[in-house]
Amino acid sequence: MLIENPITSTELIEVFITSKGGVYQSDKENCLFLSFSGKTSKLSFQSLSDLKKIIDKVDLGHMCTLIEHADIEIILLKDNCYVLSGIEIIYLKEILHGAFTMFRLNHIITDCLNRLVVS
Amino acid sequence: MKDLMRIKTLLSAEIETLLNQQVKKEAHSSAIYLSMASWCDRNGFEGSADFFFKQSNEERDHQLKIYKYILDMGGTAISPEVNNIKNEFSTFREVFEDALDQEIAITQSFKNIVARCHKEQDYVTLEFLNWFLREQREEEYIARRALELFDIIGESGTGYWDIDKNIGNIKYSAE
Repeated sequence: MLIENPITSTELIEVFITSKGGVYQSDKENCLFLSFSGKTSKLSFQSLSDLKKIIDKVDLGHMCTLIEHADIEIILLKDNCYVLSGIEIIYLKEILHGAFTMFRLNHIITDCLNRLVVS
Repeated sequence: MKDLMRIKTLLSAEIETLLNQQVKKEAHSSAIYLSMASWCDRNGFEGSADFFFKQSNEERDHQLKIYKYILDMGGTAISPEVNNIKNEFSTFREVFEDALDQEIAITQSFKNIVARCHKEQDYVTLEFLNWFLREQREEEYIARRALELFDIIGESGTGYWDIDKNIGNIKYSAE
């Protein structure tokens, strides 16, 4: 789903950003926003996870050696379609890896807090 | 900040990957037992063919049990690709040697997942896997005992005939 400009919303929590884009979380809607390549998409955690798996599987080496085709990758993900060049895939990969590292960190912190004995 | 990752699934990415690999191994096992059943049937060992058909079904049940667990816990279960199935065996004995190797590999694989669960303190998955560990005790015992019959009964004369008749009678009791 393409969103107009949700990033300015104060409800969103910054998960991970780079100069090329970022991932934001909405606790109110239990969803995520991916801002990249001039557009912002609203995604579920599952969809973002699926996107990461697809991006991780892209063979950049093979893409760069293609002579007869443009070095682009078309990724279809439910309501979203991404047409990405090799360099954009590298940028997006960095964003997604950073975001999932932050998710794991958040999980570790939340887990530790849940284990604390409340007195 | 809400823990969306935990809300989505109980399983960590590593455990989910290991469980999906196990789904593939069980599917592979099921297919191998099916090929063993075919070989035994083609070569006149009907008792053993029945034994391997049952084993194949059991492995398929194990596969589905893990598959459903992944889904129930909010993970992504992946339907596996199964290939490289050995269809020819040199001897009747080789079939059972391969069957034992197969069970040992499965047990080792479960031990690996259990070790990971301990490391991550994933006691929910650990409890789920306990059933499989008990099952592997039985599976390994039966495969080992089947191979033992070749030594006890012997392979000469009517040995193969006797072995084939007794394969289906192997039972395991933990008591």
